[in-house]
Amino acid sequence: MVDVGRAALALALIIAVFGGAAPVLGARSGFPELLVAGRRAVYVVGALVSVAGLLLLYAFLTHDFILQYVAQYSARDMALIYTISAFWAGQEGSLLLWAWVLALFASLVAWQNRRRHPDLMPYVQAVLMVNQTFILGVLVLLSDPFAKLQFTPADGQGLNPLLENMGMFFHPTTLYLGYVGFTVPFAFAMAALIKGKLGDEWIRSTRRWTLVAWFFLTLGNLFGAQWAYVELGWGGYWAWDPVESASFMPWLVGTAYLHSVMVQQRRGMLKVWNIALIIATYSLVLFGTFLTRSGVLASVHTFGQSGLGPFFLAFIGLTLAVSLGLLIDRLPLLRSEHELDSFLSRESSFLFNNLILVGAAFATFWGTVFPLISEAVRGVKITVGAPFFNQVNGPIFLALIALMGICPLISWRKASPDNLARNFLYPLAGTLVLVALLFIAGVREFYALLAFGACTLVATTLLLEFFRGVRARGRIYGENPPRALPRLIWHNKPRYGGYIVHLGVILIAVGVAGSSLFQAVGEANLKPGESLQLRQYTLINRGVAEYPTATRRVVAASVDVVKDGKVVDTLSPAKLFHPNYENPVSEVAIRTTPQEDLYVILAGWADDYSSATFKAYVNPLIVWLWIGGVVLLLGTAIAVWPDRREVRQSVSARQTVPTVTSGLAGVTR
Amino acid sequence: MLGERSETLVAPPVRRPQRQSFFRRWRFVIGGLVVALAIGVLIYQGIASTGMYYLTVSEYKAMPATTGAREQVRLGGKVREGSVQWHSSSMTLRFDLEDEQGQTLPVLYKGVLPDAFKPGVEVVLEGSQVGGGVFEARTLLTKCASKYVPLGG
Repeated sequence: MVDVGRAALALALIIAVFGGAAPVLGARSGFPELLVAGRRAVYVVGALVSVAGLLLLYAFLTHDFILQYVAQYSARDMALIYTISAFWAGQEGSLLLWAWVLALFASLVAWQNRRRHPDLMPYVQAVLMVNQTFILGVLVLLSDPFAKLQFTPADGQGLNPLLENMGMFFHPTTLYLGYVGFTVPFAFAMAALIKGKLGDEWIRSTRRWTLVAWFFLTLGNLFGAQWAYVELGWGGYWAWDPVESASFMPWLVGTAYLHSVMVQQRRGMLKVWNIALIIATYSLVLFGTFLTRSGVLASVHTFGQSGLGPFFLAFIGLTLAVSLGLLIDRLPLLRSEHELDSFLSRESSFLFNNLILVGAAFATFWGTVFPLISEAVRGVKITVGAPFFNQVNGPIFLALIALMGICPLISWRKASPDNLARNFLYPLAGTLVLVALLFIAGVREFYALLAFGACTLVATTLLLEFFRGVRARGRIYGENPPRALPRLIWHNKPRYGGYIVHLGVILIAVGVAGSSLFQAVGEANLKPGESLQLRQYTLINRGVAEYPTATRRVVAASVDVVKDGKVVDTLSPAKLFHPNYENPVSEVAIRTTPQEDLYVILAGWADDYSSATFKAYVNPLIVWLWIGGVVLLLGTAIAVWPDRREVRQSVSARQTVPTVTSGLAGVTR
Repeated sequence: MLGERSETLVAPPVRRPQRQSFFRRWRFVIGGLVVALAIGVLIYQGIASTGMYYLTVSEYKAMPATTGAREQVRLGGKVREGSVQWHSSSMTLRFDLEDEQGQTLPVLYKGVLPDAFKPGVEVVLEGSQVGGGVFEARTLLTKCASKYVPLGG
């Protein structure tokens, strides 16, 4: 069985090479048979890698501990869901998952486009298969998930208990779907460069792929943050660890790309920029994998430091050299069809949004690799931590949010003063009112006022857009608002889906601003009956007890939460001791309300349980971060949803008079 | 089309060909440079105000006292076996940080211990020197490998 998996991977590697070479040869020499054979090769690779993936999964489910990887990451007593998630708990399985997702995506792309883009597809396929070859090569030659032990152990070693969380089931999978998903627009961009077909065909045909990849990358980041919040027990959700930055950087640049392609579709501008952005996004995806796999940077969760670093670095170098080389070679073909008319135009606000997003990515990148740079340049290692990223990215994101509010209000090409006055009146008024109210309520922190002000600006802008749309439908079709709103959204999915995404981002920003600017923390060693005061909460230690469960030993405290003189809740933070894991695992207790989370950690205790140490946080508004995440994903799903009118519009929009300037036509393709 | 505002359907003003001023021609480059410069300044300031030396015990001891002994630094090393004293009611921890050359430094830390803290583990400290050659750590992080390490294995 096991050998079948290994053979499948080796065979897939060989066929992937053929699948990459055949279509290019076919296109150059004019043998259509090669094109067909190449496409079939992609399907075969998809099938073979699936066989390997399913075999490894089967080995996990049947506890086939002769496999070193299975023995290392799973055990007999593990719940089914964690037995499955052990698949990607280590390096070999993660890479196999990557290869599997890529193989399936490549097959899907080949099938979707079997009759479309005959000139681009050979090269799209070649790029996809080069990536597939690389990852399969690593699997076959360097990091074999099917390596066997000399003997079959009676039981496996089990999963790191920190990974036994639903978040760890979804975080790596969604992140990989996002990472690998960006390979597709990258491949189309490369194909467009190679063929010199640099209109917006490549962008149009990858719009949905890009959005889906972005959707999963966002989801992956959110699941990671959620996991860190509930499982790692330090009161926060984001620590700017290199591993987190690694998945945040492609998200930032990918977000910039999502916006700038609209400008190219709409006005035929920013062509070089768009290709540069997708190259950067994809390189950052590879760089992120390199960071987590190479151990060059000290991370709180350094993954097993493996020898794969140099190979990834070489592949990133190759990708950058080839893609940038191609880009420079094709520069003459990438002339803009229009010039920017005015600072006060939609396209210029997109441009600045892009600069800011890329700036944030660069700042994150610089902070992440700074220890390496300072060591190389000055011979001393200087590190920066969370304070650096917060200090630098705080103002950048504020500017970005403000721009989010302004952007939909400005028309394309050149906004008239009339247009500006009409659109900005209500949002600005609303913002000023809210800031004044917050000030009166006693919020004096400059940053907080700025942040909540910017969020209000965006929220009112968006609500105004919905309001106007509903009113227009009411006028034209006589629909009442509850009927008009869903129809409005459904008939302009990309536009209003996008707005809903923005609403989600604003909710996330509110959660981030609230929890980082107004967090309170306290810690105390308490005997039973003693209490700790934190903001309006009094936490009373009601005693600590130890008890065994089926799989582990638990030490749990009982903590009464008193607010306004009443016991509102009883929390039981705990520490869990797993028989085959050396460290205890904190099980935090969280009391969530719309205003704030109370987050209590049992940090330690005296040996006779006569006292215990607690650490508690109040994280204001943090629940809005998760709610915002759900809203954002919902908006993305609406924007991605297939639209019957899309095909028609994509044909007609090019011929439309360029002065039809709502965001509508620009984003619908 | 629904959702479009009426003012957007007005025909654009015809642009008369005219010599553009220097500012008009380059304003987007200038605007972009201003943004880039602002971000550059933010990064520079961020590193200047939050950047810390990352040192081993030997490197830290070798630093001349004038250049940074009092400054906040980040130290990496191992918790020396047999050196840990933990006083739970006052949440005070004392231990010796050790590097690969065998150099040690006494450390004082007040606060909650990370789950993975124990003798022999690798830690990263942030803090500064206080009196008597003791390093007072503001933060204490343990480096835990995601990779599972079996007990006694």
